[in-house]
Amino acid sequence: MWAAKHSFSLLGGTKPVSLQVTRSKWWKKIIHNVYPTLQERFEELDHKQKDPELYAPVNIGLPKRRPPRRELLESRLQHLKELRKNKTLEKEAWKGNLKLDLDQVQADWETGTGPHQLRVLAQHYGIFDHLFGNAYFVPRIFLNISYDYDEDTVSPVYRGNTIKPKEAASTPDIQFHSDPDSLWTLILTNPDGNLLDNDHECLHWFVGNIVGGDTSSGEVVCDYLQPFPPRGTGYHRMVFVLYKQHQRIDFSKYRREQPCLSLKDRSFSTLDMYQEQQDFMTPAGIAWYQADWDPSLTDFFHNTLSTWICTEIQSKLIKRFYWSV
Amino acid sequence: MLPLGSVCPLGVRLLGVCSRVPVVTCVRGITYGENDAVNPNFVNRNPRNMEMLRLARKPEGWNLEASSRTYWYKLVLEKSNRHSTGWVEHHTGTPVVSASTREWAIKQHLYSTTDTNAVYNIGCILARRCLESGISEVYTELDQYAESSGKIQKFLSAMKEGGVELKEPRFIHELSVGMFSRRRPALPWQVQEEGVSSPPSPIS
Repeated sequence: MWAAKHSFSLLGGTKPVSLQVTRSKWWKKIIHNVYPTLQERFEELDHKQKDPELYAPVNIGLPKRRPPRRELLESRLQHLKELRKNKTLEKEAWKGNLKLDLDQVQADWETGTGPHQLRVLAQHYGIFDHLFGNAYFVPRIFLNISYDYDEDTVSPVYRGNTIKPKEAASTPDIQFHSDPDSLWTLILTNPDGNLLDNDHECLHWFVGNIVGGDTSSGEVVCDYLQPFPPRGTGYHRMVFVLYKQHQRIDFSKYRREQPCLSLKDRSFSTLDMYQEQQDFMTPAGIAWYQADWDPSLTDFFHNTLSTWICTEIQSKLIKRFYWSV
Repeated sequence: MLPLGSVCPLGVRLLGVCSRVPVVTCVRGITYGENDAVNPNFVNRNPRNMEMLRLARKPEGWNLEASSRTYWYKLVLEKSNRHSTGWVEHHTGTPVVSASTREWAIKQHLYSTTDTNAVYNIGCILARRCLESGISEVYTELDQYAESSGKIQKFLSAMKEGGVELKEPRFIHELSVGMFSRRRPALPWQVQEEGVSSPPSPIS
């Protein structure tokens, strides 16, 4: 017996296939046993491989807005030459005292490689898959979102940090760079929080036609509801998506009664919404955090949502998660 | 409705648990409203959920390899002739968070892109980006070189000061949480975090 890799189209493609050739006296013929690797078996199950053109990733974001590299290069090289001549800087670096201002680095990173690294991270968290399907976007606008926890502390929202539901009980403070006349839409969804339908999300906040950078100027299509990950379900992603509008949009189709405490009404699909509005808005920014259960949610479930869901989902659910990995 | 075999609230009759359609009923004075309907096959789609709960399996079985693959996130430092780059990569290979002297945001403030000070600053910046991205514990193979290399020592101390732990928590095996298992680790979702300090996060 020997293992052979031939480019037969046994599995329906022209990729090399792991074969094992056996020869037996009893059968008097050579039998090719197909032993596909784990990778090959996953590819067989993945329906997207069968039609790569249909499932090709699409960039739906804003275009690049940086000047061409040639313009930047000269000034940057000049700057680096001056750095090299700087004796005090050299001394500080040699002694180990030169510590960069992290806020300044963050601000410059947001205009440089930041959006691309953010896109990779969002892909890693499965946000584009579950919100947009095959589409993705490079988030050019950075969102500064923070929940005012108490007088001294603030819970900022970055890209996947953990925030407890009691910290996120009220609407966050949102800031982003924008022209004073431009229109924006902000949507807060939870792709893991729809307790009825696994393929839909739970809408927590929808504000449309925001003028400039001021969230209070926008029309509230769906009022804010704090995250409510039930005990035993683990960490839910709460995703803020900022869309840049090309014109004023009528959101009456998505309007929910205020306050909306019915989880069925809050069932939402970003993909469906974007397919309808794609000619009028473009996704520009993204931020997300992760929330898990908190003892304060017991009161929230009993009183605000009028439901008994808060009881602990026992080991059966955890086992199902365990074996699905 | 709650799945089979689970603890139910008192006096609840489970109807339609085997079907995908949730059914609610009014039993013993407890009125169930529309918000009580729960899909019995509810799935949390968050791909990072199992790692956060320490239930995701780490890639095992590569014990004869020189570098271990038993991790969720690994910290790597690359020191090339012209630049220094630090990144945290997932076991599937994706470089999830990175900081490099190639970035203009960092390069414009440094005297040299390859000296110890540059590596220290890369560590500080990477630690902050890790915490912002929800990664607070990483596996690293740089410990063994920390004694002999000053740069790696500075890099690791910068990561520690920034709040990133250089040791990943152990994976919780199903058999270790049984009722009669000798050492039952405290399961993350059973710990009430009132008295536990949250991991350090950059607060503006």
